[in-house]
Amino acid sequence: MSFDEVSLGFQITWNEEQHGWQLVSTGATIATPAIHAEIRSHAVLSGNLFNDITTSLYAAETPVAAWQNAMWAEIKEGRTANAIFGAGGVGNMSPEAIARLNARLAEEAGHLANFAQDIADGKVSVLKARDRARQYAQGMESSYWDEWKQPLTGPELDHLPILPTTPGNGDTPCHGNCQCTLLFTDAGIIWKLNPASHCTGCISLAAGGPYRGS
Amino acid sequence: MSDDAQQEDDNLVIIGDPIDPDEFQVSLTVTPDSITDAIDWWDERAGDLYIGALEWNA
Repeated sequence: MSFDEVSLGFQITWNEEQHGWQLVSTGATIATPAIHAEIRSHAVLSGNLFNDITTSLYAAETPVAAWQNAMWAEIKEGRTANAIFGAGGVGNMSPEAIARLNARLAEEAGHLANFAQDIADGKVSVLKARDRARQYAQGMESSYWDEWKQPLTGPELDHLPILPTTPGNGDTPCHGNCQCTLLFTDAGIIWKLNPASHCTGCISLAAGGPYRGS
Repeated sequence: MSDDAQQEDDNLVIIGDPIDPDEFQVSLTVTPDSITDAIDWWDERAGDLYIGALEWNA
């Protein structure tokens, strides 16, 4: 990537002390809403891709194996990029972070295999398949939060419960289709309900904090 | 499900058979190339924040 290409966007660098990203040019901290918007913009593109290739699959234009490969390539890149983003850059992708990411990818590969078999067995309508495919995109941000929360621990937070899940993980009634984010405060990690309709799971998580990350 | 949607599903043909994850063209685990590819994937798509900074954690 050349300097000219990079200048079209904003170069960012990780501030360990503040546990957040800041602009290289000004040192200004990038607020959580902007981070979340960035994650979501990528998720929308992935979701559109998943929708399109699933439509192509059901139109008998794409073999199911090719569909699986296309889905997997995008899932892996999306989750890896989100993990790097959440960790604070490549330099923070420790062997432990890589192991966590690989474990998450193994789960996703298994889910995708089950999904493909359900499709081949005629168990999933095209509408449900497109919706289910898009959920893989929504879930990618959980890899961001998985790494973001890891360092948020220590003796001063030992009295707090461990954050049981992350936004986008899919294990709340909204299936990760929410606008929730996490914030780090002096009191610990807060599950933030941003303006949206919220499921009971997210409401409970917001009320259950603050948390520690690990 | 509406009659049209049901008819649409009844006419569906899925080509080929599913493959196992270990047959995927892209590896299941993260490699150094995966890291590079992921950064390029992020930075070359629409978005305003580039994680492919020239100085990591400067």
